[in-house]
Amino acid sequence: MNASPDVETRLRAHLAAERETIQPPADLEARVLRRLQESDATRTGTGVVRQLLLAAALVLFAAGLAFGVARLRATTPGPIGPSPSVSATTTPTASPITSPRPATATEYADMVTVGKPAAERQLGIGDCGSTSPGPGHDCFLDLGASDAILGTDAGYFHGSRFGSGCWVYLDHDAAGWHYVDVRCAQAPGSLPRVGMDDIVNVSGCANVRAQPGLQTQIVACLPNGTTVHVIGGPVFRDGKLWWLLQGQGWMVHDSLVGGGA
Amino acid sequence: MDGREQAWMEPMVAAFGRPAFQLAAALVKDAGIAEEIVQEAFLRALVSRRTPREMSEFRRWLYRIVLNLAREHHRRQTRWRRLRFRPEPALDPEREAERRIGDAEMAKAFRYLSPREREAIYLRFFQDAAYEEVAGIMRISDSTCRVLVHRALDKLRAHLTTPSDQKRETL
Repeated sequence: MNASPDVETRLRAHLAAERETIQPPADLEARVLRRLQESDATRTGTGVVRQLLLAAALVLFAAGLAFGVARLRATTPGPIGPSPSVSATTTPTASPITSPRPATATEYADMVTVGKPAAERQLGIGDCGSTSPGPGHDCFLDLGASDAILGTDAGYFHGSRFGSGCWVYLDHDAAGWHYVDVRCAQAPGSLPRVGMDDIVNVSGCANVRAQPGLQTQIVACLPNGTTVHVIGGPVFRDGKLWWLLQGQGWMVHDSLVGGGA
Repeated sequence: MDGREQAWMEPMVAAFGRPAFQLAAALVKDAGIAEEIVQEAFLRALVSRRTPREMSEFRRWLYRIVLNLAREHHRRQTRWRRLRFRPEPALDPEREAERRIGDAEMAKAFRYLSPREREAIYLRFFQDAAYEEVAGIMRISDSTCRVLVHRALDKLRAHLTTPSDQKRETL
Protein backbone atom coordinates (compact mmCIF):
# COMPACT_ATOMS: atom_id res chain seq x y z
CA MET A 1 0.00 0.00 0.00
CA ASN A 2 2.95 2.31 -0.43
CA ALA A 3 2.61 3.48 -3.99
CA SER A 4 4.38 6.75 -3.27
CA PRO A 5 6.77 6.23 -0.37
CA ASP A 6 8.96 9.22 -1.30
CA VAL A 7 5.97 11.53 -1.47
CA GLU A 8 4.60 10.14 1.76
CA THR A 9 7.78 10.94 3.68
CA ARG A 10 7.87 14.42 2.29
CA LEU A 11 4.17 14.92 2.92
CA ARG A 12 4.51 13.86 6.56
CA ALA A 13 7.34 16.35 7.06
CA HIS A 14 5.29 19.08 5.42
CA LEU A 15 2.23 18.37 7.54
CA ALA A 16 4.34 18.20 10.70
CA ALA A 17 5.59 21.70 9.85
CA GLU A 18 2.03 22.84 9.24
CA ARG A 19 0.91 21.36 12.55
CA GLU A 20 3.62 23.38 14.28
CA THR A 21 2.12 26.58 12.92
CA ILE A 22 -1.37 25.78 14.22
CA GLN A 23 -1.59 26.75 17.84
CA PRO A 24 -5.03 26.44 19.43
CA PRO A 25 -5.91 29.23 21.88
CA ALA A 26 -4.62 28.42 25.37
CA ASP A 27 -8.14 28.53 26.81
CA LEU A 28 -9.84 26.71 23.93
CA GLU A 29 -11.53 24.12 26.18
CA ALA A 30 -12.91 26.82 28.48
CA ARG A 31 -14.25 28.76 25.49
CA VAL A 32 -15.96 25.73 24.04
CA LEU A 33 -17.55 24.83 27.37
CA ARG A 34 -18.67 28.43 27.87
CA ARG A 35 -20.31 28.38 24.44
CA LEU A 36 -22.10 25.15 25.32
CA GLN A 37 -23.32 26.67 28.60
CA GLU A 38 -24.40 29.93 26.99
CA SER A 39 -26.23 28.24 24.15
CA ASP A 40 -28.73 26.84 26.64
CA ALA A 41 -28.67 23.74 24.51
CA THR A 42 -30.37 20.59 25.55
CA ARG A 43 -30.74 17.40 23.63
CA THR A 44 -33.44 17.81 21.02
CA GLY A 45 -36.76 17.94 22.86
CA THR A 46 -39.93 16.36 21.49
CA GLY A 47 -42.77 17.66 23.61
CA VAL A 48 -44.02 16.83 27.09
CA VAL A 49 -46.77 14.41 26.07
CA ARG A 50 -44.51 12.41 23.84
CA GLN A 51 -41.83 12.25 26.52
CA LEU A 52 -44.38 11.05 29.09
CA LEU A 53 -45.59 8.35 26.73
CA LEU A 54 -42.02 7.33 26.06
CA ALA A 55 -41.28 7.16 29.79
CA ALA A 56 -44.38 5.00 30.40
CA ALA A 57 -43.39 2.69 27.57
CA LEU A 58 -39.88 2.38 28.98
CA VAL A 59 -41.21 1.52 32.45
CA LEU A 60 -43.44 -1.19 31.00
CA PHE A 61 -40.61 -2.54 28.89
CA ALA A 62 -38.19 -2.60 31.85
CA ALA A 63 -40.74 -4.35 34.04
CA GLY A 64 -41.36 -6.96 31.36
CA LEU A 65 -37.64 -7.43 30.81
CA ALA A 66 -36.99 -7.82 34.54
CA PHE A 67 -39.78 -10.40 34.80
CA GLY A 68 -38.46 -12.31 31.80
CA VAL A 69 -34.87 -12.31 33.05
CA ALA A 70 -35.98 -13.45 36.51
CA ARG A 71 -37.87 -16.38 34.99
CA LEU A 72 -34.96 -17.24 32.72
CA ARG A 73 -32.50 -17.22 35.64
CA ALA A 74 -34.84 -19.39 37.70
CA THR A 75 -34.94 -22.07 35.00
CA THR A 76 -31.71 -22.05 33.00
CA PRO A 77 -28.67 -20.06 34.18
CA GLY A 78 -27.33 -18.81 30.88
CA PRO A 79 -24.93 -16.21 29.53
CA ILE A 80 -26.47 -12.95 30.67
CA GLY A 81 -24.22 -10.03 29.73
CA PRO A 82 -23.46 -7.63 32.58
CA SER A 83 -23.80 -3.89 32.16
CA PRO A 84 -20.62 -1.81 31.83
CA SER A 85 -21.20 -0.17 35.19
CA VAL A 86 -21.31 -3.41 37.17
CA SER A 87 -18.77 -3.33 39.99
CA ALA A 88 -16.24 -6.09 40.43
CA THR A 89 -16.70 -8.41 43.33
CA THR A 90 -13.92 -10.82 42.54
CA THR A 91 -11.25 -9.58 44.92
CA PRO A 92 -11.97 -7.69 48.12
CA THR A 93 -9.07 -5.32 47.46
CA ALA A 94 -9.81 -4.80 43.74
CA SER A 95 -10.59 -1.28 42.55
CA PRO A 96 -14.20 -0.70 41.52
CA ILE A 97 -14.61 -0.89 37.77
CA THR A 98 -14.80 2.53 36.22
CA SER A 99 -15.83 3.62 32.74
CA PRO A 100 -12.98 4.19 30.29
CA ARG A 101 -11.83 7.79 30.16
CA PRO A 102 -9.12 9.78 28.34
CA ALA A 103 -5.74 9.90 30.04
CA THR A 104 -4.55 13.26 31.30
CA ALA A 105 -1.29 14.64 29.89
CA THR A 106 0.59 13.49 32.99
CA GLU A 107 -0.93 10.02 32.93
CA TYR A 108 -0.15 9.73 29.22
CA ALA A 109 3.47 10.81 29.79
CA ASP A 110 3.83 8.19 32.55
CA MET A 111 2.36 5.49 30.29
CA VAL A 112 4.70 6.39 27.43
CA THR A 113 7.76 6.42 29.71
CA VAL A 114 7.11 2.79 30.61
CA GLY A 115 5.33 1.48 27.53
CA LYS A 116 7.31 2.95 24.66
CA PRO A 117 10.76 1.44 25.34
CA ALA A 118 9.17 -1.93 26.10
CA ALA A 119 7.08 -1.81 22.93
CA GLU A 120 10.16 -0.91 20.88
CA ARG A 121 12.01 -3.88 22.38
CA GLN A 122 9.12 -6.23 21.58
CA LEU A 123 8.84 -4.91 18.01
CA GLY A 124 12.62 -4.84 17.51
CA ILE A 125 12.64 -1.23 16.32
CA GLY A 126 13.89 2.05 17.72
CA ASP A 127 12.36 5.38 18.60
CA CYS A 128 11.50 7.68 15.68
CA GLY A 129 12.66 10.75 17.58
CA SER A 130 11.77 13.76 15.50
CA THR A 131 11.31 11.72 12.31
CA SER A 132 8.34 9.69 11.09
CA PRO A 133 8.24 6.04 10.10
CA GLY A 134 8.81 5.58 6.39
CA PRO A 135 10.22 3.21 3.80
CA GLY A 136 13.62 1.98 4.94
CA HIS A 137 13.09 3.72 8.25
CA ASP A 138 10.91 1.60 10.51
CA CYS A 139 10.63 3.08 13.96
CA PHE A 140 8.08 3.56 16.72
CA LEU A 141 6.20 6.82 17.04
CA ASP A 142 3.84 7.65 19.91
CA LEU A 143 0.87 9.56 18.55
CA GLY A 144 -0.18 11.81 21.39
CA ALA A 145 -2.45 11.82 24.40
CA SER A 146 -5.73 12.19 22.51
CA ASP A 147 -6.11 8.44 21.96
CA ALA A 148 -4.77 7.31 25.33
CA ILE A 149 -7.49 5.65 27.41
CA LEU A 150 -7.54 4.60 31.05
CA GLY A 151 -9.71 1.76 32.30
CA THR A 152 -9.45 0.20 35.75
CA ASP A 153 -5.84 -0.35 36.85
CA ALA A 154 -4.98 -0.47 33.15
CA GLY A 155 -4.74 1.67 30.04
CA TYR A 156 -3.53 1.87 26.48
CA PHE A 157 -2.11 4.43 24.06
CA HIS A 158 -1.74 4.84 20.30
CA GLY A 159 1.49 4.63 18.32
CA SER A 160 2.59 3.70 14.85
CA ARG A 161 5.35 1.97 12.98
CA PHE A 162 5.94 1.94 9.23
CA GLY A 163 2.82 0.70 7.51
CA SER A 164 0.59 0.11 10.52
CA GLY A 165 -0.95 1.57 13.64
CA CYS A 166 0.01 0.18 17.05
CA TRP A 167 -1.65 0.05 20.49
CA VAL A 168 0.41 -0.33 23.65
CA TYR A 169 -1.33 -1.93 26.66
CA LEU A 170 -0.29 -1.43 30.28
CA ASP A 171 -1.48 -2.24 33.76
CA HIS A 172 -1.19 -0.03 36.83
CA ASP A 173 -0.74 -0.57 40.55
CA ALA A 174 0.65 1.32 43.52
CA ALA A 175 4.15 1.04 42.05
CA GLY A 176 3.08 2.69 38.79
CA TRP A 177 2.63 1.51 35.21
CA HIS A 178 3.75 -1.89 33.91
CA TYR A 179 4.00 -2.92 30.28
CA VAL A 180 1.72 -5.72 29.05
CA ASP A 181 1.74 -5.89 25.27
CA VAL A 182 1.96 -4.03 21.95
CA ARG A 183 -0.04 -4.89 18.85
CA CYS A 184 0.39 -3.39 15.39
CA ALA A 185 -1.89 -4.05 12.42
CA GLN A 186 -3.32 -2.38 9.34
CA ALA A 187 -6.73 -4.01 9.64
CA PRO A 188 -8.97 -4.26 12.70
CA GLY A 189 -9.40 -7.59 14.41
CA SER A 190 -6.31 -8.05 16.53
CA LEU A 191 -6.25 -4.78 18.45
CA PRO A 192 -8.78 -4.72 21.28
CA ARG A 193 -9.91 -1.24 22.26
CA VAL A 194 -13.06 0.35 23.48
CA GLY A 195 -15.71 1.00 20.87
CA MET A 196 -14.21 -1.24 18.21
CA ASP A 197 -14.98 -4.68 16.81
CA ASP A 198 -12.46 -7.40 17.44
CA ILE A 199 -12.06 -11.07 16.57
CA VAL A 200 -11.66 -13.91 19.05
CA ASN A 201 -8.30 -15.55 18.42
CA VAL A 202 -7.89 -18.87 20.21
CA SER A 203 -7.64 -22.55 19.42
CA GLY A 204 -11.07 -23.89 20.34
CA CYS A 205 -13.16 -21.36 22.23
CA ALA A 206 -12.54 -18.50 24.65
CA ASN A 207 -14.34 -18.19 27.98
CA VAL A 208 -16.65 -15.26 28.58
CA ARG A 209 -17.05 -14.44 32.26
CA ALA A 210 -19.68 -12.57 34.24
CA GLN A 211 -16.95 -10.45 35.84
CA PRO A 212 -13.27 -9.84 35.08
CA GLY A 213 -11.07 -12.36 36.91
CA LEU A 214 -10.04 -15.99 36.67
CA GLN A 215 -12.33 -17.22 39.45
CA THR A 216 -15.55 -15.66 38.19
CA GLN A 217 -18.52 -17.42 36.63
CA ILE A 218 -18.09 -18.57 33.04
CA VAL A 219 -21.19 -17.63 31.07
CA ALA A 220 -20.22 -18.60 27.54
CA CYS A 221 -17.40 -19.88 25.36
CA LEU A 222 -16.98 -18.08 22.03
CA PRO A 223 -15.38 -20.00 19.17
CA ASN A 224 -12.28 -18.83 17.36
CA GLY A 225 -13.06 -16.19 14.74
CA THR A 226 -16.16 -14.79 16.46
CA THR A 227 -16.53 -11.05 15.87
CA VAL A 228 -17.21 -9.19 19.10
CA HIS A 229 -17.71 -5.53 19.97
CA VAL A 230 -15.63 -4.16 22.85
CA ILE A 231 -17.58 -1.72 25.03
CA GLY A 232 -15.55 -1.59 28.24
CA GLY A 233 -12.15 -2.13 29.83
CA PRO A 234 -9.34 -2.59 30.04
CA VAL A 235 -9.54 -3.89 33.60
CA PHE A 236 -6.53 -5.50 35.26
CA ARG A 237 -7.49 -8.50 37.44
CA ASP A 238 -5.60 -11.66 38.45
CA GLY A 239 -2.56 -10.64 36.45
CA LYS A 240 -4.50 -10.21 33.20
CA LEU A 241 -6.21 -7.51 31.18
CA TRP A 242 -9.95 -7.97 30.58
CA TRP A 243 -12.32 -6.43 28.05
CA LEU A 244 -16.09 -6.13 28.27
CA LEU A 245 -17.85 -7.44 25.15
CA GLN A 246 -21.24 -6.13 24.14
CA GLY A 247 -24.04 -8.52 25.04
CA GLN A 248 -21.57 -11.15 26.26
CA GLY A 249 -19.40 -10.46 29.30
CA TRP A 250 -15.69 -10.20 30.05
CA MET A 251 -12.93 -11.82 28.02
CA VAL A 252 -9.22 -11.95 28.71
CA HIS A 253 -6.94 -9.80 26.54
CA ASP A 254 -4.86 -12.76 25.30
CA SER A 255 -7.92 -14.24 23.57
CA LEU A 256 -8.59 -11.02 21.67
CA VAL A 257 -5.18 -10.39 20.15
CA GLY A 258 -4.02 -12.10 17.03
CA GLY A 259 -1.87 -11.68 13.99
CA GLY A 260 1.69 -10.45 14.01
CA ALA A 261 2.83 -7.66 16.30
CA MET B 1 -26.43 22.01 29.41
CA ASP B 2 -27.38 20.28 32.65
CA GLY B 3 -24.95 18.70 35.13
CA ARG B 4 -25.15 15.26 33.55
CA GLU B 5 -24.42 16.63 30.09
CA GLN B 6 -21.57 18.70 31.47
CA ALA B 7 -20.03 15.63 33.12
CA TRP B 8 -20.22 13.90 29.75
CA MET B 9 -18.99 16.80 27.64
CA GLU B 10 -16.06 18.05 29.71
CA PRO B 11 -13.79 15.04 29.15
CA MET B 12 -14.74 15.01 25.46
CA VAL B 13 -13.79 18.68 25.06
CA ALA B 14 -10.56 18.06 26.99
CA ALA B 15 -9.67 15.06 24.83
CA PHE B 16 -10.76 16.18 21.37
CA GLY B 17 -10.98 19.99 21.43
CA ARG B 18 -7.40 20.61 20.37
CA PRO B 19 -7.06 17.85 17.73
CA ALA B 20 -10.40 18.96 16.28
CA PHE B 21 -9.17 22.56 16.19
CA GLN B 22 -5.98 21.50 14.38
CA LEU B 23 -7.99 19.53 11.84
CA ALA B 24 -10.39 22.41 11.26
CA ALA B 25 -7.55 24.95 10.99
CA ALA B 26 -5.72 22.73 8.50
CA LEU B 27 -8.85 22.48 6.37
CA VAL B 28 -9.98 26.13 6.43
CA LYS B 29 -6.59 27.83 7.01
CA ASP B 30 -8.04 30.34 9.43
CA ALA B 31 -7.75 30.08 13.23
CA GLY B 32 -10.85 32.17 13.95
CA ILE B 33 -13.07 30.11 11.66
CA ALA B 34 -11.50 26.91 12.99
CA GLU B 35 -12.51 27.86 16.52
CA GLU B 36 -16.04 28.66 15.34
CA ILE B 37 -16.19 25.26 13.67
CA VAL B 38 -14.99 23.43 16.77
CA GLN B 39 -17.47 25.24 19.02
CA GLU B 40 -20.31 24.57 16.60
CA ALA B 41 -19.27 20.92 16.25
CA PHE B 42 -19.39 20.32 20.00
CA LEU B 43 -22.71 22.15 20.18
CA ARG B 44 -24.21 19.93 17.46
CA ALA B 45 -22.83 16.86 19.21
CA LEU B 46 -24.46 18.01 22.45
CA VAL B 47 -27.91 18.61 21.02
CA SER B 48 -28.12 15.57 18.78
CA ARG B 49 -29.74 12.48 20.26
CA ARG B 50 -27.73 10.31 17.89
CA THR B 51 -24.33 11.41 19.24
CA PRO B 52 -22.48 8.35 20.56
CA ARG B 53 -21.37 8.40 24.20
CA GLU B 54 -18.41 6.10 23.76
CA MET B 55 -15.13 7.96 23.25
CA SER B 56 -13.75 6.62 20.00
CA GLU B 57 -17.20 6.70 18.41
CA PHE B 58 -17.70 10.22 19.72
CA ARG B 59 -14.41 11.31 18.12
CA ARG B 60 -15.44 9.86 14.80
CA TRP B 61 -18.79 11.64 15.08
CA LEU B 62 -17.16 14.94 16.06
CA TYR B 63 -14.62 14.84 13.23
CA ARG B 64 -17.43 14.08 10.81
CA ILE B 65 -19.21 17.25 11.95
CA VAL B 66 -15.95 19.20 11.63
CA LEU B 67 -15.53 17.97 8.04
CA ASN B 68 -19.12 18.93 7.21
CA LEU B 69 -18.72 22.40 8.70
CA ALA B 70 -15.45 22.92 6.85
CA ARG B 71 -17.18 21.87 3.62
CA GLU B 72 -20.03 24.31 4.35
CA HIS B 73 -17.48 27.04 4.91
CA HIS B 74 -15.78 26.33 1.58
CA ARG B 75 -19.14 26.25 -0.22
CA ARG B 76 -20.13 29.61 1.29
CA GLN B 77 -16.76 31.10 0.33
CA THR B 78 -17.10 29.90 -3.25
CA ARG B 79 -20.67 31.21 -3.58
CA TRP B 80 -19.74 34.53 -2.04
CA ARG B 81 -16.82 35.02 -4.39
CA ARG B 82 -18.93 34.12 -7.41
CA LEU B 83 -21.53 36.74 -6.47
CA ARG B 84 -18.75 39.33 -6.21
CA PHE B 85 -20.58 41.38 -3.63
CA ARG B 86 -17.18 42.08 -2.22
CA PRO B 87 -13.71 42.02 -3.77
CA GLU B 88 -11.41 39.07 -3.46
CA PRO B 89 -9.60 39.16 -0.16
CA ALA B 90 -6.19 40.74 -0.48
CA LEU B 91 -4.64 37.82 1.33
CA ASP B 92 -5.87 34.39 0.32
CA PRO B 93 -5.54 32.23 3.44
CA GLU B 94 -4.44 29.23 1.39
CA ARG B 95 -1.76 31.20 -0.42
CA GLU B 96 -0.68 32.64 2.90
CA ALA B 97 -0.38 29.12 4.32
CA GLU B 98 1.74 28.10 1.34
CA ARG B 99 4.01 31.07 1.89
CA ARG B 100 4.51 30.38 5.56
CA ILE B 101 5.14 26.66 5.46
CA GLY B 102 8.56 25.23 4.63
CA ASP B 103 7.81 22.96 1.68
CA ALA B 104 6.13 25.51 -0.58
CA GLU B 105 6.18 23.15 -3.53
CA MET B 106 4.24 20.52 -1.59
CA ALA B 107 1.76 23.17 -0.47
CA LYS B 108 1.23 24.23 -4.09
CA ALA B 109 0.78 20.62 -5.15
CA PHE B 110 -2.03 20.39 -2.58
CA ARG B 111 -4.10 22.70 -4.79
CA TYR B 112 -4.45 19.91 -7.34
CA LEU B 113 -6.22 17.67 -4.83
CA SER B 114 -9.99 17.45 -4.70
CA PRO B 115 -11.64 18.49 -1.42
CA ARG B 116 -12.29 14.86 -0.55
CA GLU B 117 -8.70 13.86 -1.31
CA ARG B 118 -7.47 16.72 0.84
CA GLU B 119 -9.70 15.63 3.73
CA ALA B 120 -8.47 12.06 3.48
CA ILE B 121 -4.84 13.20 3.40
CA TYR B 122 -5.29 15.41 6.45
CA LEU B 123 -7.08 12.71 8.42
CA ARG B 124 -4.54 10.04 7.48
CA PHE B 125 -1.27 11.95 7.71
CA PHE B 126 -2.06 15.06 9.77
CA GLN B 127 -4.28 13.39 12.37
CA ASP B 128 -2.46 10.04 11.98
CA ALA B 129 -5.79 8.24 11.83
CA ALA B 130 -5.79 4.62 10.67
CA TYR B 131 -7.42 3.91 7.30
CA GLU B 132 -10.42 2.33 9.02
CA GLU B 133 -10.92 5.50 11.08
CA VAL B 134 -10.56 7.78 8.07
CA ALA B 135 -13.11 5.65 6.26
CA GLY B 136 -15.47 5.83 9.24
CA ILE B 137 -15.19 9.59 9.57
CA MET B 138 -15.70 10.15 5.85
CA ARG B 139 -18.44 7.51 5.65
CA ILE B 140 -16.76 5.61 2.87
CA SER B 141 -15.56 2.04 2.61
CA ASP B 142 -12.08 1.07 3.71
CA SER B 143 -11.02 0.26 0.16
CA THR B 144 -12.42 3.54 -1.23
CA CYS B 145 -10.48 5.35 1.47
CA ARG B 146 -7.21 3.63 0.52
CA VAL B 147 -7.79 4.39 -3.16
CA LEU B 148 -8.55 8.03 -2.32
CA VAL B 149 -5.35 8.44 -0.30
CA HIS B 150 -3.15 6.74 -2.85
CA ARG B 151 -4.66 8.67 -5.73
CA ALA B 152 -3.92 11.85 -3.78
CA LEU B 153 -0.32 10.76 -3.17
CA ASP B 154 0.08 10.03 -6.87
CA LYS B 155 -1.27 13.48 -7.73
CA LEU B 156 1.11 15.12 -5.30
CA ARG B 157 4.05 13.21 -6.74
CA ALA B 158 3.06 14.23 -10.25
CA HIS B 159 3.15 17.91 -9.27
CA LEU B 160 6.44 17.86 -7.39
CA THR B 161 9.36 18.78 -9.55
CA THR B 162 12.13 18.68 -6.96
CA PRO B 163 13.49 15.13 -6.73
CA SER B 164 12.53 13.67 -3.39
CA ASP B 165 16.07 12.59 -2.54
CA GLN B 166 17.37 16.13 -2.94
CA LYS B 167 14.41 17.49 -1.06
CA ARG B 168 14.92 15.16 1.87
CA GLU B 169 18.45 16.44 2.38
CA THR B 170 17.19 19.97 2.71
CA LEU B 171 14.34 19.19 5.11
